[in-house]
Amino acid sequence: MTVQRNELRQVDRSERQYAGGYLHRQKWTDPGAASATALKSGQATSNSATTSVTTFSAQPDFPRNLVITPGGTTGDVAAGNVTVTGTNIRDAVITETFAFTADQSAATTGNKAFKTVTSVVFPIQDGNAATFNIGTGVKLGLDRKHSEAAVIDAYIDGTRETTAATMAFSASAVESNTASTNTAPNGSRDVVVITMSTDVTDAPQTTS
Amino acid sequence: MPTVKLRSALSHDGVAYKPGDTFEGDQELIDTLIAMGTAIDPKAIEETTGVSLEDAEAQAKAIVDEANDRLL
Repeated sequence: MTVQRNELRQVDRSERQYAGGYLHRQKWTDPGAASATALKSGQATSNSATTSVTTFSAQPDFPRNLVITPGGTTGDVAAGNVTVTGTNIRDAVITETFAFTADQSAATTGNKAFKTVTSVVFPIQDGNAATFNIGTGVKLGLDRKHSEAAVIDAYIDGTRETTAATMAFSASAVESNTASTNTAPNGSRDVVVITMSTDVTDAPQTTS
Repeated sequence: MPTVKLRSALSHDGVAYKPGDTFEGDQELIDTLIAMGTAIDPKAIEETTGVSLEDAEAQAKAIVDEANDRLL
C-alpha cells in the first residue's frame, strides 16, 4: 500500500494524523454552563432601523454555539434573520444566521462554534419593544473536522459518560464540528471528548 | 475601515444613522448590512450603471447646481 503525501502527518508528539481516520482527544477545563445572557442581555431593537451591535459584555469562554432569545414584547418580533459574525476556533471569520418567525418567544439555537463574536445585526422589527438576549449554548467546538459523527467517548472529571455525547460534524467547516456531553458543563468540571477525525491539518490542538 | 452609504436607518451600538448617512465599520459588518439591504453596495451600482456611486452623486449635484443657477 502506498501512503500518499499529506495522508499521514505528525503535528506534535501527541497526535499522528491520518486521512483515513485517527483518534483525537480534546479537553475543556471547567467550561461554563450555558448562559442565555453571556454576551448581551436585553438588546433593544427598532421598528424603523436595522440594529447592529459590536460591543458585548463578554465573549464565549470556549468556542461554542450561541443562543439568541427574544424578550420584551415578543409580539413585536418580526420574521427574519439575525446575522452573527465572529471567528471560529482557527481564527477565521465566520457568520451564522439565526432565523426568527413573527412573534417568536422561544430561543433560536445556533450550530456553529464561535470563538469570538464581532457583530450581531438585527433586522427591522414589527414594533419597538422586542429585545434579545445573546448567550452561549452547550455545544462545544471541536478543533478537528470530521467525516462522521465519530464520537468515541466522553469523560466528565475523568469519569466515562455512559450516554454518548451528541456530535455534529462537517468535513469542510471546522466551526460546524461540535460536541455536547450528556452531563452539561457547569463551570466546575472538566470535559474530555475522544473522536475519530479525518482532518489532516497543521492547526494546533486547543486542549486547555 | 471601509465606509458605506446607508439605504435605510441604522442603530449601531446605540448611535442612530439616517438613510443617506455614511457608515464606517469593519468589512464583515458592512457586507452584512449590504446583504440585508440596509446599506448600498457601491460595486453593484457601478456594475449596473457603469458609473461609480461617487461619480453619480457628483453628476447629480452638478445637475441640481445648474438648475438652481437657472432659477436665480
